[in-house]
Formats: sequence, C-alpha cells, structure tokens
Amino acid sequence: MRSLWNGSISFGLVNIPVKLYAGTSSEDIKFNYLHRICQTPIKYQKACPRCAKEVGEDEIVKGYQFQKSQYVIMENEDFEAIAPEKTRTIDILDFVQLESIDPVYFQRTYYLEPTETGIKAYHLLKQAMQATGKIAIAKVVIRSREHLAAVRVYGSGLALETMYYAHEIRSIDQLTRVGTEPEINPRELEMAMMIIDNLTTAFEPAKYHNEYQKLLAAVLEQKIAGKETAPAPAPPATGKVIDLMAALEASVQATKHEQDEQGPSPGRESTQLKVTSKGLRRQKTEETG
Amino acid sequence: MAAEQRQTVLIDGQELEITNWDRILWPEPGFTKGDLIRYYALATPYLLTHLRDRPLTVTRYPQGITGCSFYQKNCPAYAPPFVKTAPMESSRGSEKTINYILAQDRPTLVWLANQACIELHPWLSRRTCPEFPDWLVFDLDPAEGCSFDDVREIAFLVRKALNELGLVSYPKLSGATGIHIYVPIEPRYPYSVTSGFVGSVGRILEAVYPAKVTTERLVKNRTGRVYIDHLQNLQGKTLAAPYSPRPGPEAAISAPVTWEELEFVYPQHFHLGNILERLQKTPDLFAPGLHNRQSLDEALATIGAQVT
Repeated sequence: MRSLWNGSISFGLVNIPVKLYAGTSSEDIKFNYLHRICQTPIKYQKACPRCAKEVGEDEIVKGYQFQKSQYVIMENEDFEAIAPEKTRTIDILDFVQLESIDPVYFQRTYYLEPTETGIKAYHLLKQAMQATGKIAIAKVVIRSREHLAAVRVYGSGLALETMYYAHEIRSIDQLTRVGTEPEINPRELEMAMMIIDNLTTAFEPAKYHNEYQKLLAAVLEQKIAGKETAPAPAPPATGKVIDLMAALEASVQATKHEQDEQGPSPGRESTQLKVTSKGLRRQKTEETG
Repeated sequence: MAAEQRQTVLIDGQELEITNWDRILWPEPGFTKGDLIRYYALATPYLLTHLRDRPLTVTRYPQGITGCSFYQKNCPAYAPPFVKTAPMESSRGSEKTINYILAQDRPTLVWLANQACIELHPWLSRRTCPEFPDWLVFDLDPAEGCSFDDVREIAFLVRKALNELGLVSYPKLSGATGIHIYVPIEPRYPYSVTSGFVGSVGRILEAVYPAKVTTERLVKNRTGRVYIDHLQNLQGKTLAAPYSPRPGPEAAISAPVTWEELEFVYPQHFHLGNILERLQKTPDLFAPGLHNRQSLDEALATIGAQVT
C-alpha cells in the first residue's frame, strides 16, 4: 500500500508519527466515451458560449453565484489567504463513547500506521482506547482541506474516519411520513421481531458480491474474445516510421566516407577532451583516416 | 525554443516515439539527446551485458546536465509496453515495493535515452537472487588535494592486495574523478559480507599506507588521500554501470580499461564522442569476469585472520 500522507497524531503532550493509507477502494469498471463512428475517445473542451470560443486554463476564474446571474470572483490568492494551515497533525480534540457516533457521520476510512519511532506510543493509545471503549474526535488537514475525523480501533490497528460536520447532515424528520408514528399492535410487533430473529446470522461481508459488476466483467470478456472491441486509436500520424538502426548505420557509413575523403573533419567526432596538468582542455586528435 | 520534434521509429521490431533529439544535454561539447540515443542503440551489447536482469535506477536530466535532475527507481506508468520491470522490496527494509525498470533489450535502452536517462545504476545483484551480489566494487575517489595519479597508484595497490588474496579484479574509470575496481564473485555472499570485505581490505591498505589511503567517513578528514568507499556494496546503491555515461561537463563514459591502459588514461578519457570508436576496437573488458565468478571463502578467511 502507498501512503497518502505523513504526519503525527497529537494529543496532550504526546506525538505519534504515523502514515495514512486509503482503507477502501472502489472496484467499479471504468469506461471511456468514444465517438461512435470512429471510436476515438471524446475530448472535452472548455468553451464560452457568449464569446463562442474555446478558453484556456488561464482565462478561467472561479465565481460564486450569490444571486441569479450575479457572481463574485475568487482568485487563487483569495483561497490561499484563508487556506487551513498545512499542519501535519491529527489533533485529537475529545474522546467520546464509540456508540455515540452514528455511522451517518463517517465519510471515508483511512488506516494509520506508526513509523518506526511511533510504534510503542501507537499501540499504547490503541490499547487504552480499546480498554475504555473510546473513540477520538480530531481535526486533520489532508490536501489543504480541513476535515473532522474520528480515530478508532480497527482490527489490530487504528483507523481514521473522515466525518461530516453536524450542519452537513440533513434531518430525517424533514420526511413527513417518518416524523409521526402510527399506532402499532403488540401482536404485529411480536411477529415482526420473530421474523427478524429467524433471519439473524453473523455478519460475513465476504458473502455478498456485486452481481452487476461480475455480469459486466463477463460481458466485457465475451466481447473482447469475440473481437467485438473498439480498436485502440492509431497514434496521430508523425510521418513515416523510420528504422532507427538502419538510419544509424547509414549515418556511421556516411561519416566514415567523409573522413576517408577529407581526412579528419573538424566536427565533434574528432575532438577530444584531454586533461593536462593545467586542467581540462579541448584538443583536436591526430586521427588518420 | 524550436518546435517540438517527434518521430516514430522502429527499433528491433518495436515502435517508439523519439522526441526532441536536438536538445542539447551536454552544453560544453554540445552533445544532444540524439547522440545519447545513438550511443545507447549502437553500444547495446556492451550495456546490456551489465544491465540485464538487474533492477535499474536511472538519473534523468530532461533539460540537460545543467538543468534539474532526478533519480527514477519506479518504472513510470507511461513506459512503453515492451519495457520489462521487476517488483522489488525497497532497499531500506520497509514494506514498500518498487517496480524497477529492467534494461533487457535495445528498445528499452533507446526509450531510456529518449527519457534523457544519462546515468544507469544497476544493482550489483540480479533480480533472481537480489540479496547476493555477483560483483563487489572498490570505489576509489580522490579527496581534495589529491590527484588522479594518486588514485591510479592506489588502484594498483588494491589490485596487488586482491592478487595476494587470490582474486582477479577489473578496473574502470568512474567517468568523474575516480576509479572503480570490480571483482566478480559467486553470488552467495550477502551485501553485508561483500561490503564488509571491501571495508576490511580498505582498512588494511589504510593501515599500511596512511599517507595516501583513507576509509574516513567524514569528507573533511579525508584531505589529500584516496577514499576507498565500501558502502557502494549495498543493495540499491547507485554506482554507474560499466559503459554508463556520466552527467559531468565532459560527457565522460564510465569505461572499463585494462590494467596496462590504467597506467596512462586520464579520468574522462572516454566520452560520448570517442566511445563508439573505442568499442569497435576493444571487446568488453569486463566480460571475462562473467565467466570467472570467484569464491571469497579463502580471501575472507585470510582477511578475518588479519583483522582480528
């Protein structure tokens, strides 16, 4: 695994140097868009509809729409001025009870690995968190974005979950048919609980597969085998393909002829670098033929 | 800057795009990327003998030797499909795997030249037994206040010591200021043993000839003497390969020479302008070593007796 970030977990006076790794990967099959007729990958161009022309990167700025068709311009400097300080720490702010965080808050999982010097402190923190059933709430800057995060015990190590801020979570009570509860008959409830009991097993994540992805892979395999494939686009023509060795040998022959006819040529072929007691000097060699 | 040059070439059955061959890599003698491509293409048999099956680190100088340069260990994703690679554990014992380039054929060398890879640093071991080098190297480097004649003298001293230990050795010009002495060995001694051996021989020579030999790690304490570096005998170290060009102003080649030639050659004797002519006349002087892998057992025993 390749680490994405190096830094340290900081709490109290303790610093634990760690590396951050992506904990999950999506295995979606990727597709390219092609022009149906010639099967060339589609290229996206940025264009201005008013000026009716393509625009380059240096002609594009970021604008924030504060009213319809009204923008304020934000230059790079404006963003830089308020960019979070590029700290290299996972700053632990609080410890909370593990169960008190709802999964809705979690965004992405990263794994934390201690560096050589942090091994002991890392495992100490892990064991203490395990024993107390606590999870740490922290702030961390990754790629110049500040994230709220949770550090928790995962397997034999520590994982960092980036989290949503409270205001980013929508209230489920906005859904009108959720907020008000109808009367439930105790017999019906009992029966529903019985069905749940019957279907209860241990969670085995390896048991569930993405059937659609499998099917998709099988279709692709068939198409590739049946040559029902889009040919790779030919590289843009750069003129004739030259046989390099033939060209080089020809050039060697030409040089030889030249030298045979004219004696040593003053070109670089006959210059040599020579070191004398006075240092480095360029001099012509006394080549014959 | 002139318009970008691009040309697709066919090389040993592989198509490859060559770019900007007129770009000057060595400003003083004026050698271009085209010259480097030509050298790699024509000297391929010489280069491959010492590169094949060895994880390779290269130093790239995209803007020439006066521009910025960088080491490249990992084979980039955009490498042409014919470039072979070898995934190897990182040398520093971490779990990181590096996908090293293997220079197995001429198209790969030409591609490297087109990438402005000036220095070729192969491992001293092969990917099939990465922990056991089949060369050990004495890297002789003149410290300040020390001439090439001093390096030459110490090289012959190293040769003599190795002879006494029953080992045949082969010299090459580093292409910078020093001399590399290569000893072909059976690949069954770990790097720790080979570097230890070179270190021990170095310290013995230092003891008998303290005026001219040093194994001192601190540069400032080496003054006036020839430094024998044993630490190049470690996995993943970057020693220029036999026939590798060097990024110095002279476009020198790290060329093998005979012991007789070592009497009179100068540090940058062979360079991009005369090396091909040399290779037409001279076989690979390191090739005999490939068929003469030597046991270190006796030499180690002898040294061990002297060291303790």
